[in-house]
Amino acid sequence: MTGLLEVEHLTIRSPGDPPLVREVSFRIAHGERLGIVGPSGSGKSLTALAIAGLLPDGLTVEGSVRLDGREILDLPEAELARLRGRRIAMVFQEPLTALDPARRIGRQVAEPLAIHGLGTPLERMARAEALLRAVGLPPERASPDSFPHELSGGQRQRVLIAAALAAGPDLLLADEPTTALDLVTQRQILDLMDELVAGRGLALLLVSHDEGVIARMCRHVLVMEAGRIIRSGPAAAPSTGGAVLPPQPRERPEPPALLAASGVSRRYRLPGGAIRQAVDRVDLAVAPGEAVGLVGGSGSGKSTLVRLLTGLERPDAGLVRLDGRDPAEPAVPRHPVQLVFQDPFDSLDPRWRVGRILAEPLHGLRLAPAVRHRRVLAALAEVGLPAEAVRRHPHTFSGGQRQRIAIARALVAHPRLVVLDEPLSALDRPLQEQVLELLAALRARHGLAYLLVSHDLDIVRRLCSRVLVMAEGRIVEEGPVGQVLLRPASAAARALLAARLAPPAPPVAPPKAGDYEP
Amino acid sequence: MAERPDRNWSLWLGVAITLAILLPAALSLVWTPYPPAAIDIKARLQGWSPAHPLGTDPFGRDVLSMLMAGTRNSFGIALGAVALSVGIGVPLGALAAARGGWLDDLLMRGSDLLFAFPAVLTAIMLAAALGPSMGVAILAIGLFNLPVLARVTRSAAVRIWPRAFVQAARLSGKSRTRITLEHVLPNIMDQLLVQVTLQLALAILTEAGLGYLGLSVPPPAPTLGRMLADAQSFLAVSPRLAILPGLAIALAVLGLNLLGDGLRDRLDPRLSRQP
Repeated sequence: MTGLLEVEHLTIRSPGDPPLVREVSFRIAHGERLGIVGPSGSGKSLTALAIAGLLPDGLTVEGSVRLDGREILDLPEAELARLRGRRIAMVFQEPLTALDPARRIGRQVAEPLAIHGLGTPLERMARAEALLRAVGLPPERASPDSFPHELSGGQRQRVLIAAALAAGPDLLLADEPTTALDLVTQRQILDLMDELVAGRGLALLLVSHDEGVIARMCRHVLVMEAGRIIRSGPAAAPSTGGAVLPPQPRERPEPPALLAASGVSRRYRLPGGAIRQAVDRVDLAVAPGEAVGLVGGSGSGKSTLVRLLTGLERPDAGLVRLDGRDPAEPAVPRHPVQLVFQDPFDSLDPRWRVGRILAEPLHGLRLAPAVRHRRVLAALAEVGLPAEAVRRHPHTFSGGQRQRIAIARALVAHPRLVVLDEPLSALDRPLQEQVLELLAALRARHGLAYLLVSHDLDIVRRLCSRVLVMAEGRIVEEGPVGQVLLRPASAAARALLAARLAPPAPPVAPPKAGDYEP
Repeated sequence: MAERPDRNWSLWLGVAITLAILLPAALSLVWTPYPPAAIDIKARLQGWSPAHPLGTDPFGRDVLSMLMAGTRNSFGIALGAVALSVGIGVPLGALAAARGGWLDDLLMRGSDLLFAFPAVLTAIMLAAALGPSMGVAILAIGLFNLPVLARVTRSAAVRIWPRAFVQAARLSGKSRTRITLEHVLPNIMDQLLVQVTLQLALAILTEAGLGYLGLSVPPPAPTLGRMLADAQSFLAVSPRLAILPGLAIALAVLGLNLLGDGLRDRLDPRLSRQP
């Protein structure tokens, strides 16, 4: 029997350069699942895009991609469009950018049906509602009339999955479907995909840099590196890096708090008129030189709390004191606190050169240009980037380098507290390791205080001595990292621990083994 | 896989057509074959000839000279109008995006109100009050374009404000005005440039309409719109008189629209190939 999808000798190159993907062959039978794992730049996403006929312009493809025995690689765009959604559906990494911000989610879920002319408008809306319900978004939680920005990241990914399934495809391509999500949400989304794929007998091609994700979903995995398949076989449990508890001395007798919050609350009015208590009477203190972790699932209020603590937003009630002053006062110089953001592709102005970006936090200090330049170069050196970087634009750097630039920007004004908002979650594993070491070294060198916001307890454990657990806007647990990790007292902490994907759950997919040609 | 056809031809065709219209118009600032308003009754309604390459009108005025000067006047008014709407609309839109809240609502409802008046109506009211003149035409068309630019600016800017690099700038203690100038405007410049080009085409069309109704520059200064209006009574005798200014308007609008489309393709990273 021929497979549903057969890929043979797929080679992708941009003319004149060595191939980005070379001689990749595999096949997937109906209802079968295959994972592709590899570091960023290994060609795994390009392979998935080539199957969907969505390669960026300027790349040439050789080889063959057959769907039900029919060659689809050189189909004209109109024919490909007929396959997409109907036969092959896709779920992308970025639930934020993959949804049209201006259209209601129900319409977006129904769109594949409309494109392929299935059903009447009324039937389509009913089907969209049923699909949203199937992905765990019943109308009482997220009405089909809501807009994407009213949903959390995990909910958006659910919408995307619903849209992908709308027209009843046979093959689902999922490219890093959970990378942008926190671990609890990732677990939920993977469970959901597992259930839906099994229930509908879909074939699944899952692309991820995270072997844990693949092992959770697929029995077979192809490992790609530098455009080639270097291994194929059963999906294995990921090797967990030997994370050792770092020494955490710096015990001082009750130093005055550098950052203190008492009774801080923030409410938002939702479109429906309901009120959401994003942050609810939070008290916390960070001593000079202390590293504190703040963990919680998505929607727990972490991000809002960060905005309140750094003065980007004002609390409805309560007090924030940074060095004894209110950080939201416009007259207060902000440089005692700096932020490192989650997404290094969003945190650097694409129009500015790195030198100007790094000098920005210095702008209120009235430094001589030469002094300013020296500070910028020193900050660049600290994060291990060459001085010539100042003349380049952010887009010429990789994700890891950009995050280093963002860290350099946080350091340049000599802050006493650096708030790290998910600083590693946009990076892949090896880069995470490097940046983590950099952060630890910088803290030791400058006696910085860190407030590390993360959903990843392993990262918090590596960097912090004390951890706060947040759920539904409140701090529900607080204590030394080791204690919270070993004996979590709150349900939220237990959920975060349970979501670490290790050990991976046994693969659920029953179908027989396909044959993989390396 | 098939490559997407290169759509940049639209940019270059737009540039070519726009230049073909603009260069003679610019030349008319220093030189035209005849003074555009010079009446020569003996040479009325002539056809093509070496002396008058595009013939003459019922008053014996040289049509080529009138076209050159008329295009110049039309472009001048359109440019003035767009400059006015950019000068006011962009700051207002940026302000609405930076402040949000009630100010945003007030500015946007105000621009809705302004948008509800067609340019022709505004021009009639203004001309009735002030008498037709170049200034009135610029003001009427500019007011008509203003809400569009304010709204495009606002909607592009509100997408920049939540981005992390803007928050980093706020943490550096920069004011909203400064952030708007340094981060927001440079990042929406592409979209504004495209919009300005398209608005210019619209302004030329509106100016032609106003000129046709006699609400633009008063005679004897030629405008494309009035040339069309004057040609109406001679349509049977000399259709050329209507076709030529009509063609000039159509080409100017087409050229600018192609230019705007081409710019959008070139500048919008979602549509163009990666650099």
